Amino acid sequence: MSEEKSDNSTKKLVKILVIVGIGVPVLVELMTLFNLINVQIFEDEKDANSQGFDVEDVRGFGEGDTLFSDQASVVVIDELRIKVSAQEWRFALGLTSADSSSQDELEISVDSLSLQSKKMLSGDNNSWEVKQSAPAQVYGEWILPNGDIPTKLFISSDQKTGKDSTKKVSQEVPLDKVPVRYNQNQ
Amino acid sequence: MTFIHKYPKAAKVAKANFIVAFIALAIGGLFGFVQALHRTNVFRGFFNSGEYYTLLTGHGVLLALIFTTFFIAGLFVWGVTRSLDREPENLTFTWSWFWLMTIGLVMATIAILGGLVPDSSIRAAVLYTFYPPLQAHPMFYIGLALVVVGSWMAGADWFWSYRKWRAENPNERIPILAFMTLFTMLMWYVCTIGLALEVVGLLIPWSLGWVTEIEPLLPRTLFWFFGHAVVYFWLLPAYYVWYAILPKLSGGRLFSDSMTRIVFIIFLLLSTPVGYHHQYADAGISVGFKFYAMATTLLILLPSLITLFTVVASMEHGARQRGGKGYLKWIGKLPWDSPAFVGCALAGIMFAAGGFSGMINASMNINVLIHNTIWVPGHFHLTVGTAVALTFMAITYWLLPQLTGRKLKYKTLALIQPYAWFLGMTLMSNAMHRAGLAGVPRRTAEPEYSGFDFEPIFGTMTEMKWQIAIGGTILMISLILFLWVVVASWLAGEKSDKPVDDYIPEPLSGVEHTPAILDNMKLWFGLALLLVVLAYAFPLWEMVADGIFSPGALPRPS
Ligand code: HEM
Ligand SMILES: [Cu+2]
Repeated sequence: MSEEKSDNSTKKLVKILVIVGIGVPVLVELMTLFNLINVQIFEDEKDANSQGFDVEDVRGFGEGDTLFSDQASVVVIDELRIKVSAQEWRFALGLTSADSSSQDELEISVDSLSLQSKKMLSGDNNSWEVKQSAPAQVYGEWILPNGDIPTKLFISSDQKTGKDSTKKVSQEVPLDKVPVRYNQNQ
Repeated sequence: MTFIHKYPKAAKVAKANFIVAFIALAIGGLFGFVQALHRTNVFRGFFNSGEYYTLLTGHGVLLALIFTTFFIAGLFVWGVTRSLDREPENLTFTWSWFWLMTIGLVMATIAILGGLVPDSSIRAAVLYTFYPPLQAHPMFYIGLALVVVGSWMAGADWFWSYRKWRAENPNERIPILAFMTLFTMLMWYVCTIGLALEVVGLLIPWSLGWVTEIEPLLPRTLFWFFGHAVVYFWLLPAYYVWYAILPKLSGGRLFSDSMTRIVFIIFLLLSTPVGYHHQYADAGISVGFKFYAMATTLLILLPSLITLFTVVASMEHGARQRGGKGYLKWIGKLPWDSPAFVGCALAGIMFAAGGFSGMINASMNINVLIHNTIWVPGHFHLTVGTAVALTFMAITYWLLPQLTGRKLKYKTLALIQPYAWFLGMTLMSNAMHRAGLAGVPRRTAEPEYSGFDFEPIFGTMTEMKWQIAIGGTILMISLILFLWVVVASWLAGEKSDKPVDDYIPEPLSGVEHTPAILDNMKLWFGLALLLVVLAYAFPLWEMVADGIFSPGALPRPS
């Protein structure tokens, strides 16, 4: 009697397992096949591609972009990444003056960093390392909480307005996805 | 009477190998789960991205190299002992290869896990394809070298048993279990030549600082000399199970003895010369050799197709014995309530799917489309990650009672396990394949490029990420079920004289129909070496002709 009962419940279990364990996979694969064929044959490829939003519009700043582009001294981001060693997680930023003939120092500072975790990090405890003077090139690193990534920088720069007058100009720099790179030498 | 009562010494050796294999499986599987959640950005609290390579190396080495090798050793000890009807010839020798492999494995693991210790100088985040420029602590390479030497001794142990058996049975054919073991090991001897040369000749001196410059192409080529054959070293033991045991589990018997032998011979011949197909993107190998590798790779599909035919035919025979009828209706008569059967059968189905993506990898021109994308892990989780791993797990449900003399516990959980693995792997691998087609790279914790959005052919990136994460989670659950059933049965299963039906019937078309030449090991081994020389001698010579340690050599052949 109880043998029969357990036999029946096993049968039921096997039924469920076959439906979920084999049926769902078969369905997933069939849907994939259908979609692949559908896209290849029935959808114009241009349509398929233009469904995504325009990448340029939402892109944040990254390496190679310029800051203060409407000001007198334009600055290029030549390094922007997370540097990781076994236990440290640092944000590295390198800036160069876009005017390669200029002898001026880069008067620029990172006021604060807004992080993915919604934390704000003050930028002022940092001092730039001057990498070269003509064109001016500086480099700085900030220790971040493990795994956190900056999403926006608040940067200000002293811009010449007249012969001897300067004015502090600030810019919000929303960042693109920051590349994370492993530092083997540290 | 079951195995442990007849051969208590061999049972102990096999069990020791299984313990190591399952510990590696547990740790490696956990790493896989963590990776799946981390790289999809679903949960990143376990570690930071800088430690990803350490985890990925642990996952690859512990699962693909350690779990497989130790499980295979245990399986072969069981098969050789049983089919030749003799305990290991000398237990001191047998235990010494086991301990040598274990010491090596522990060294390699310590080197890898050192990467998680702050300020540790011991690290080995070089991935399981360990060639320069990534460099590991010498302990990693030395440990792996010990594992390989141990595995050579294990093979020698089985040949030793065979020779003794042969002396007593001069006119008998090699029993099929022993045949498959010996041919797998012959292939292993051929392909590990490349690995030994790479590790002992180049990597150990380099990691110790004895040489500072190394030509990058040479160790890569030597690694891939080994690197494709190793996948058949994992796979052939799964075939061994499908040929020798699965027909019995489905209620029938093996379809053909000679087909089985032919398949193993083809693998011995062709596994190594195809290694270049992992180097399609390497500038230093001439396109002619790549083409040769592509042709032989497609040829090597043949034995897998023969296997498909033979195994399915054996299963159909089994189902008809159980009352199955019709063209396809017999499938319903298979024992879908037996965990060991279900695991092997589902593993076989997944292998067929892996074969399809494998054909794409193998085709030199299409390979460019998916090279180094997450498509590739999608492919090999079907092959080694399921065809091999799920077969090993499933057959454990049948072997463990024989090795421990205890019945399996929690049969319901054991039954859920293979279905769960199949579901989880379909989800994870399907999404990995699709993401790979969109260009998502493999081997990175941060799979985005800056200023660039992936454009999937269909679906969305977010949906694929979730599919990978959910698939990985189901796999982890399946793995926990497996480990739970094994530990519980091993420690507390009901003791019994006959804990499982371990009888293996004779093949339908038996050894009497098998040509004797198929058992000529010297002939096939010699041919295998010849094919390897044809494929590799010239390019390797070109690479070393201007000095082994001189980087920046000209493209080959120049
Ligand atoms: C719990 C089940 C598993 C999960 C969730 C899992 C997950 C993953 C993921 C997400 C990756 C890709 C990482 C990347 O390229 O960034 C990976 C790589 C890999 N997995 Fe698994 N895996 C599992 C089981 C297995 C099994 C059973 C095997 C082999 C027996 C295996 C062998 C490998 C190998 C060889 C790699 C490549 C490592 C490398 O690129 O160096 N995995 N796994
Ligand atoms: Cu291969």
